[in-house]
Amino acid sequence: MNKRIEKVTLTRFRGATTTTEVVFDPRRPITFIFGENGSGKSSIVDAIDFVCNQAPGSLADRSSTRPKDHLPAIGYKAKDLKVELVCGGRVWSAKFSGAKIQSSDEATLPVAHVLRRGRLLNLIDATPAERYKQLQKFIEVEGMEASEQALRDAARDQGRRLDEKTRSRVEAEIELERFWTNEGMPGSPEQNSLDWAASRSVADLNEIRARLERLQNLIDRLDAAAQLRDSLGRAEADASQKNTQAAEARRAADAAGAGAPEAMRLIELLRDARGYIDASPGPLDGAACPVCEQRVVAEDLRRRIDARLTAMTALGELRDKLEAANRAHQNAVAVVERDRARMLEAARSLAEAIGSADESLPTALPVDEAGLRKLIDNVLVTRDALIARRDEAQKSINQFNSITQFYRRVVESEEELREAEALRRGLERALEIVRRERIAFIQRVLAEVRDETNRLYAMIHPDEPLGLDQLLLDENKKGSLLQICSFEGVSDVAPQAYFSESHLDTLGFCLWLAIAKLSSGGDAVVVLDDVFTSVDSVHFTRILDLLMAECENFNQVIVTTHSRQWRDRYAAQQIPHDKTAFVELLSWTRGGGIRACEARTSPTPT
Amino acid sequence: MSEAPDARTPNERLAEIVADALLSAGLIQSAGLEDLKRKLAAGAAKAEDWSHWIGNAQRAARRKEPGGDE
Repeated sequence: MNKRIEKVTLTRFRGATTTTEVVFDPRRPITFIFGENGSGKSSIVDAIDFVCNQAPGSLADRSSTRPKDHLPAIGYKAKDLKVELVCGGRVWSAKFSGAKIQSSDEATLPVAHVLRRGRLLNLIDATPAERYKQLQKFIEVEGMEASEQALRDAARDQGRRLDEKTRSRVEAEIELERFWTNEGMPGSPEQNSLDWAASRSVADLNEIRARLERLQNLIDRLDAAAQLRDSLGRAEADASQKNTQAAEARRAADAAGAGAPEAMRLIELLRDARGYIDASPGPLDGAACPVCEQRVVAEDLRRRIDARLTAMTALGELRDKLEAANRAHQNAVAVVERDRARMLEAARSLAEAIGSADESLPTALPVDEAGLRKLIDNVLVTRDALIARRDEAQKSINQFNSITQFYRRVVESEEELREAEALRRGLERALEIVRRERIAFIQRVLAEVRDETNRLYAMIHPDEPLGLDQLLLDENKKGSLLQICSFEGVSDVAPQAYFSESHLDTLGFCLWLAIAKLSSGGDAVVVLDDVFTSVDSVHFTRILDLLMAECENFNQVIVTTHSRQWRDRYAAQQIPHDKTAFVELLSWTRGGGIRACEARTSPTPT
Repeated sequence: MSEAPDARTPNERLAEIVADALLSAGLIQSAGLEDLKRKLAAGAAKAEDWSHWIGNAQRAARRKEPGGDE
């Protein structure tokens, strides 16, 4: 597809103080732009760079310059500047948007590779890191490197998981060995700990679990009965004390005199009468007494009762004490009866549990209280032994559970370990492949660049014993590309030390062209800005031949030069006119700016 | 022009090569290969993706072995 530049229009851009149109001949793959120094060649190249690469062009290599301030033509501002480019029948334009260069329709911009004289030597003289940047586009596989890192992480994580599983299995094996040894290594030497654990793990634990339950039940009932018996004892002691206190209160009342019982009944009667008067809803004045049916004056009667009660205070207190002591005794007796009933019930329950406990305990079941109390005492003596038996049963169950758990861990981990190990090996193998292919891929690309560079170089310097041996990624540094050359049969030399300047120029140009060719896939415009300066006649012809041959690999080749050799050769038809066009620039003036003659196949007469 | 230009990025080209190599080595399955390549090239393959891809291929291989599920 023909995507050649047809026209570049520079408005207030660098040397273009007005609007300058540079017209190309799109039928011809190569265009030479000839102009004396200062005629505006670099401005045109920068304009192409400005649109296609949104780059400031040659200003990027110059210190103390700012594109926004120095790309506009002298006396103009960034807002006045514009570049328009027609390529393959389409138009793109670029200008400043703030400090940023903004091209129209960025996604479809023509691909343009620009090489300037000033950067030629840099390609060879560059640091490995700078050289890497030149080739980064071809060998940058950040996405794949990130995926490779994820694979490395996966392999490492899987290794850790495998280690954990292995450790867990070994721990289980050690535990089984310990259990087996503690048991006296049954079945040895025919069996090992794992065989033993296998047989143990299928043992029936129902009987031992039932025994554990019975023992626990027995201990619980014993503890409950013993607790209730103690409680009964405390209640009996309390009742006895209360009985003594009631007897003492009675004796004190009796000692108050022979008429004391009657006086106490009188006190009770008077208190009742006083209560009756106080509780009456209305005044009793004039009403009849409900006992003697005499008319009474309430206040008077109340006063008289109070006087009588006061006269019998000491006796009243004795009466109160006696009544309280009797009530306390009765309550204590009630508690004793309740606790006795509870204790007897708990003791019978204990007796039942003994009956079904299948332990060496008294089996005769007493029915009376004394027998039941004795039973509690007898069984209580064996409590520690019962607890020991219960703990033993629990220990057996725990041991069984542990053995089963460890045995299962060993057995189940076998398959898991096999799978985990296989996955780890698979991940590591994949990592090996991914890494190998990545390195091989990059080396293939680099070898392709090297071979192409050497092929181009040999076109300019045939039969000369020098060339690029290897482009090599520095394994120890990220983003670093080593360059190894040979000279006179000696390999691994730095070209800067042995190659002449023109050879270095050529090597740089060939490396750049090889990169441009491989990166564009035939779909690029190549712009060479005054790259070939002082070339002798022989090499001029070879470079020309190279351009004629290599232009097939690009959409378009644009060569700017101030060398009259090119113009003269063109005029002398020593440059094939069927493939080339010639644009000549006239002298620059501030008022006229860049003045370009139309592309033609013959130069303007001098 | 020499050959048709390869419009793929280096990541995409390398992803293709790597996926083919892994497939040839039996480390991954052909099912879902395009998705795998896309993830590889984009740098979106996570550690768990790798474990999943390789684990799946290994399980499938085991099923095909004598005594396997298939």
